[in-house]
Amino acid sequence: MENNNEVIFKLNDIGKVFGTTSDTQVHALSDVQLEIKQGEFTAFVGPSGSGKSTLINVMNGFDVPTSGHVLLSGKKIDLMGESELANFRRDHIGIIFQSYNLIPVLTAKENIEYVMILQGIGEEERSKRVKEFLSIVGLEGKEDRYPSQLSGGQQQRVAVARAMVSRPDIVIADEPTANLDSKTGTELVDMMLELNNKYGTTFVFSTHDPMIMEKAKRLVTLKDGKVVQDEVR
Amino acid sequence: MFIFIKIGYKNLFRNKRRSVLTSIVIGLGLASMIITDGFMDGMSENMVKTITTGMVTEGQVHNPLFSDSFDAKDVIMEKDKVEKILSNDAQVENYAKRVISFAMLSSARNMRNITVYGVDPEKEKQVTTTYKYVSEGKYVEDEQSLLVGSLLLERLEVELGDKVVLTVAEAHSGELSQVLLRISGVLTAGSKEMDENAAFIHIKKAQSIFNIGQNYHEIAIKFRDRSVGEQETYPLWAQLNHTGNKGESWKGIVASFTEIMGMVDQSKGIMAFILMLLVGVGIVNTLFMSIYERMFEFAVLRALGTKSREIIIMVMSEAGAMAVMSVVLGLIITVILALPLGLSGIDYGGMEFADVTIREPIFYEFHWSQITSFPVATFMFTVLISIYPAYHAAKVTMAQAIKKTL
Ligand SMILES: Nc1ncnc2c1ncn2[C@@H]1O[C@H](COP(=O)(O)OP(=O)(O)OP(=O)(O)O)[C@@H](O)[C@H]1O
Ligand SMILES: [Mg+2]
Repeated sequence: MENNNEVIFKLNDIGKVFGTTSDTQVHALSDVQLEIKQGEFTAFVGPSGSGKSTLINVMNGFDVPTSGHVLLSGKKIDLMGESELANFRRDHIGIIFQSYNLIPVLTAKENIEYVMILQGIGEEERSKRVKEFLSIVGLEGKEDRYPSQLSGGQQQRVAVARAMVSRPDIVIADEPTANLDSKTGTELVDMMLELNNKYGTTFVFSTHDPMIMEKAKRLVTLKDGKVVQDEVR
Repeated sequence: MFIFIKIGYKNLFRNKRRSVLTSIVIGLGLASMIITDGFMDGMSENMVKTITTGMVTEGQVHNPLFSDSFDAKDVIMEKDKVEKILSNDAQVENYAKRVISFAMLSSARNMRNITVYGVDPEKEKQVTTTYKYVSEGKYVEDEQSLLVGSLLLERLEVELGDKVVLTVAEAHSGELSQVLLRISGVLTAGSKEMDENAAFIHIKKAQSIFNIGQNYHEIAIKFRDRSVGEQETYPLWAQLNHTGNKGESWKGIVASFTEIMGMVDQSKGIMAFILMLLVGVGIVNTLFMSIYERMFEFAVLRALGTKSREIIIMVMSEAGAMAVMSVVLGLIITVILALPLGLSGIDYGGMEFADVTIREPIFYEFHWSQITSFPVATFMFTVLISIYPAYHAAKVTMAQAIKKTL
């Protein structure tokens, strides 16, 4: 099927080289051309060392590409200064890490609220949204628990809620299920898929798990830093 | 802003033992500064009291020649004018005239060179507490009185009530003049200088044996407020000097003591500096330890859109919370350590320091600054020094931090 929606991410000829001397240099990414459109549910797959994490770090603005440009909603994020990037990330990208996503000294509710506080959203609106998203991720009644009082799967659900609550253009996750058992991992991705279907939230994530790849609507396969297959299903 | 402060202070309690231990170290640093300050000031106040209630008193007037020569003929000039100046000065509570010179005191068995003081007993009691240290017999009462130091008594191998001969040279002729006196009192001041070398007689007797008429050598002054007299610019001194005499406060008279006390103040400062340095290294070390453990967390915070500046606020808040805890602990430690000693005083029982005998126990000298500016300085110092680790946390390299922990 053809997706005619708006382009969120545009990666132009991205190259990323680690190391300075020629014998230590690693070409983690070469000539990556990629567009992510509104409403997609994309998985980055490929063998270990193929460049999935590197690509995701470049998209998040955690790392700067050696060549090429990353455009998010038409803005080159690789050229942004620290403060501008922080604000841009806060407003446009929801990020989920593999684990330890949550601030340990804040409760589930406070973790979800945090980004909205940074955005300057008022208390009433924050409470409303926290409630809404906790129920979306199936954690009603757990809002006052600290991360240490939640299971790994529950922590990842809070992380999903936190990533979505600020209404970003896209949610990006590097192996969000890697630290979960297969069943919990599949449940998490099912939930993400449901959110994608229901609210049209755009997701990009990487994974090794074939069960999870199955669920992706678009599969981008990397090998040696190159996109070798891009399949929309 | 509040959320960063909140996260900061909550972080402090993640490793309670480490935070409490560090706070105890900082608190101990604060406590030792407060206690040192309190007892050093207590000691210097103690010594200053010993000086100013002793024969030195709070201020003196002399003929400038007398200070060097100690010659009986160098009496105070224009004494009526001088006394008028002193009587008219509102800050002068009392003053006492003294005749002072070298003399020889001999018993049937022995003799000693001494300093003899001719004093006006009633006036003298208003300016010094020497009379309180009479251990046997009585203080100077009349022209027959002779008060001698307890050690002098031993040297001369005499006792209270024995007769001794006081020999002096008359002021102008230089001829010897002798009087036979019965020892009517013994002084145990606790200072070797006084107990071994001094004798006191009535001022009239002294004026007559030195043959100086109504003249005298020294005026000892007590002020209503000691600190007023201590000011070199206090107009009284200029007025006195205008009469050709030299008037100065105790600080000028025992200049060597004043100098030593200045050094004590300096070493107090050096000690505070070293303490602060040690405490500072402790704080930085602890903060770095806790920050290194949490680099991934800082990366997460940054990923959520937190700015460097906000992370710095977070870490500084953690340091600030630690500083508050440290100050509280420090003040508790201070009270526990200083209160019992402060109430009972530290008794040095007659030890001499800088030529001054510490007669009374040393008490803790409290200043408001000890519980205001000292803790505030500790707080500010702790928070300021935390900028370094805070900056380090804020600079987290995202790609690196998220890789290291995973
Ligand atoms: N900081 C770095 N310095 C040097 N080389 C690096 C660095 N980070 C990644 N690389 C290299 O870049 C290549 C791509 O790494 P990347 O982490 O993106 O792979 P990946 O697809 O995420 O692998 P995995 O599935 O194991 O997570 C690898 O060859 C890796 O060794
Ligand atoms: Mg990876």
